[in-house]
Amino acid sequence: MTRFPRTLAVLIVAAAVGLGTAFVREARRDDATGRGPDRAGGRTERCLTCHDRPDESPGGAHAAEAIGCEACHLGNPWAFDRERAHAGLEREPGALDTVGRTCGREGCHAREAGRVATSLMATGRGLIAVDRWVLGETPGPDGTEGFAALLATPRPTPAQDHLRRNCAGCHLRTRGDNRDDAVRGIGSGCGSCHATRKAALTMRAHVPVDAKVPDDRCLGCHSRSGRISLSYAGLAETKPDQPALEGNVRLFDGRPATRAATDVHHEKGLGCTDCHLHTDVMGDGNAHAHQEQQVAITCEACHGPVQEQDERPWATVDDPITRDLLRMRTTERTPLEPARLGRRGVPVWNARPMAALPVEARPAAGADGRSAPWTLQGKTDGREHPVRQTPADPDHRLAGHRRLSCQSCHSAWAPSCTTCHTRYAPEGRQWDFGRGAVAGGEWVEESERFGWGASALAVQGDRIVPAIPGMVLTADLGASEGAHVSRRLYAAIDPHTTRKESRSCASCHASSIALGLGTGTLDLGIDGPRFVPAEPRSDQPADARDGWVSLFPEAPAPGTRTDVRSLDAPEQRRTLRVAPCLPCHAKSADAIYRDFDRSVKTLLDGGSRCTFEAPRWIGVR
Amino acid sequence: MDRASRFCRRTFLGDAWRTVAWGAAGVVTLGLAGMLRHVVGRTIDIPLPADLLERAGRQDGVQVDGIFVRWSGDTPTAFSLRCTHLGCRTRPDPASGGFACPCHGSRFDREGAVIRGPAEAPLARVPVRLEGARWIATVEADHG
Amino acid sequence: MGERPADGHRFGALSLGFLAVTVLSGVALVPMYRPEDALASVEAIHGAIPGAWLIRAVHAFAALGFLLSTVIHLAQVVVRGDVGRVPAGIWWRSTLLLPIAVAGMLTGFLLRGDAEAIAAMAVGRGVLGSVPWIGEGLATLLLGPPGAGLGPVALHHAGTLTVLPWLLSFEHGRRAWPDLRSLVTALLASIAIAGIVPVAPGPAEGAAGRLLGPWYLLGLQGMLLDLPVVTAWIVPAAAVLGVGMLAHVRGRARTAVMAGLGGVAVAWVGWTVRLLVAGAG
Repeated sequence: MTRFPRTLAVLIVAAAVGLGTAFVREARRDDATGRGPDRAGGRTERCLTCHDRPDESPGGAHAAEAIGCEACHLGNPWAFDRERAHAGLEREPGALDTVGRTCGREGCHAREAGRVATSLMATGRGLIAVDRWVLGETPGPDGTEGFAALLATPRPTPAQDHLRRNCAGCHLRTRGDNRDDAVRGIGSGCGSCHATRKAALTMRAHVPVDAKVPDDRCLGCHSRSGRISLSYAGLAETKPDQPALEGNVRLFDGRPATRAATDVHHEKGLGCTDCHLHTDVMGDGNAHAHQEQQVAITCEACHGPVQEQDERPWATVDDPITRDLLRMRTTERTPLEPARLGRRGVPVWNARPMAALPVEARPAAGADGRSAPWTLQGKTDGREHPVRQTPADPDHRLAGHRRLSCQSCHSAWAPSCTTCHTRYAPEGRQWDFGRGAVAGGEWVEESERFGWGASALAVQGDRIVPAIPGMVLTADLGASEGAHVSRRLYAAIDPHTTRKESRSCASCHASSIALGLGTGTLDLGIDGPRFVPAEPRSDQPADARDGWVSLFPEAPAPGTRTDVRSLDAPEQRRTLRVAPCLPCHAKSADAIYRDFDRSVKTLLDGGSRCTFEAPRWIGVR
Repeated sequence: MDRASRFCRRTFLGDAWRTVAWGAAGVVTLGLAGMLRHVVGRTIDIPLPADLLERAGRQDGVQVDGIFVRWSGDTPTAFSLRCTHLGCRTRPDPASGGFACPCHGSRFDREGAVIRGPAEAPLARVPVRLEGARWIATVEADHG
Repeated sequence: MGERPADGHRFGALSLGFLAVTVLSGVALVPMYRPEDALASVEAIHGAIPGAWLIRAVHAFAALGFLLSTVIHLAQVVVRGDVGRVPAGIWWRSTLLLPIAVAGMLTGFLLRGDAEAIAAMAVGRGVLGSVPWIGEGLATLLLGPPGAGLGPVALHHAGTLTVLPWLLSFEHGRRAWPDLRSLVTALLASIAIAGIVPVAPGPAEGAAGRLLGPWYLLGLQGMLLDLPVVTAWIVPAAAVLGVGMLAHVRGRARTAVMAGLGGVAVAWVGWTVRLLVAGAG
């Protein structure tokens, strides 16, 4: 019997110890390199070896333990040293120049990234085209130039320079390190909305990344110009030197503002994305020329009146993105459930017939299913909101109101800036988003005051819509160019100040503001309407400084779109001739409005019981 | 002992011709290998994009692909960061404002001149030329 | 597996065992390694591929085992006075196993492709290039033409430096395969150390401070702080020649050669210390 060799025994023990240690280290490697290779998309990662704090993960669907870090942040997940691990790191995942390798990589959000790239938030086409047209560089307000090209232009024109310095910060393609004070803290690309950095968070903590976009992500950009984010929350921007008002507040970026009527949707707890569809904000893959063309949501999509094409069963809805959205939110629609549609057939997936909800999930106010047959689910909080339908009453069936958009009556107010002066100051210095640095020259914007109140009415296509002074401005484009531009343009707008109650009859039919004449006195005397401006224009004393169009003009005044114009003379007349009747006949249900033309004719022919001595001009259509 | 010694010597001498033959073959091989240097490409173009040159102006010089670029008047100039001692890539030395070699400790000032050995020659200048609208630096293939 | 080796040649036999383990583990690493993307593939071996790091560590420590058991075998032979027992030609060629083992380990170091490896490659090219007349050819033959990347080095590492030591071991020990005992010993020892001592590539771009070569060449690196470049090949070549000459010298002359080799060893350690101290300062 031979003795077991001692050396071999020692070696076996040593190898066993070595293997045991190796197993422990392998387990730690496995643990440290992606919390399991399978769960990190079949890949392992070393990032978590250093970035091991739980708050360094965004959590949710994008949690580091689920998809790792590299999927969004690039870099080298297997590196051993900081420099190499961080080589090629993307600090702002979603930035549009790398989005194809981050959010938009195959298997993740490639379709969305592609759509966003052509959307208006990325291209800014409308903004650019209108600005260049207004400053006299192009023949019309439509164009195809996008911010990518504009920011790369070596020799910008004055309007391009104006856009590069004053507008490009809100452009999705602009990175976080290319920021001036106004929009600091806004991410770039997808992250602008889905993962905005916040100063309040600790330095290294990761912001959540998900589809829920709270309103403050929209506020940074949409609180300017049309200021819809402010108006929606019941805030009207003021000038620092404007007289102090009740309810003065400071906005997130220090601008002063005052309280005004809040949008009823905001009051009820609805956020921007609760109404706005994915195609509204991220585009539908088509390069639309202007904002209102990209937006598919309408008031009618939720509130009716529902025409046939606006509602159809889910079985016939062909929108793969909405299907994905429903899947990601682990919810579904049965094929026969009716779907409400926005423009171009995009379904409003969070609007459902009340009856489709289980009784316990129905909001109390609409639980009976009669007063509110539809319900809208909040996308960020999941709350159900009863949606009442537009009643088929005389208010909404007036013959003369057929062309009115909902907004023209239900918008409580809109902001206005009518004394805008834009000046190029060659001696100044200002951030240039094209260069990513402060550069010589500055665009100075001045105005006497910001106003807010009832909006004017415009015609867009075949609809009457609210309009505000969009480009009532003078601009000095710099001494070297010697160009001076003066414009008087109104812009159609959805003011986002919707109220259940509408503006009064007189606020349109007897208002110089509504007719686009500006501030002043409208004298509806026996000789015919006359307008006396509060502040006459120096060149045309009959017109107001803040006006858009003259009373009974030869031609309507143009707006900031080819399909937008002021009311023309017949439209003004038709509006005004109701005014003398309003003191007595203040209700839409009043019999005289059933056929107003006939009522007027009867009155003027003396066949009426009415004792009012009507001016003859109301008979002129 | 004596026999063994003689045996060794004889073996040594007996192997000598073979050693010489192997040596000759080796030298021929090495010569051929040496000529390879002249066959394969010897220079590499490093494009200097506008944003890099702009940064070079702002920061008084930037590193790119083993060369250091800075502006001299209205043309960019460059020198190789390859240490002239044994070819390691030197790095900016915050202490002196120049460059230090991480292998054997040579130091160069910010113009590339030797401050401390073992290196003896200054860092090599790299020609920079304008091609169309782009500046291009040309380095040796082994510039490090 | 042939008969058991005599006890006096235990380490000689063991070196063949280590060589076999080195080659086999090296073969296992082949599909995981890409010379054109060296560091990334080594990082993948250490991060992405489960268990691959252990194979790489076994490979590295088996190679070290080959060198150490060869050196111990040589020392035993010299101490016992057995130098004349092999023919001088075989002695000389066997002596080449020492630089070949070092070359194998050094090329393995270069194949990491990290900052230290890139620097070591440059230094190696510079040192080889300092050999008169044949220097440039030597550098090109062993490391490839400048700008060639790690492809030629990888071929030498896996080809030349596998064939040569095996061939020379075979000529020296008259056996092509290790005996079972040596193989098992080499395997178990390599696994034991590989499991416990971590092996990993360094940074791609060295952080602040000094880049160091492999530990067994630190003496040479330190020497270059103070001495001309040519000493970096003269001293190792002289050491190899000294070992080779042991077959031809007796008595005082041998003592002198031994003293010279001892002097080189002491200087080697001294310059290693000098380098590390200089690095710390």
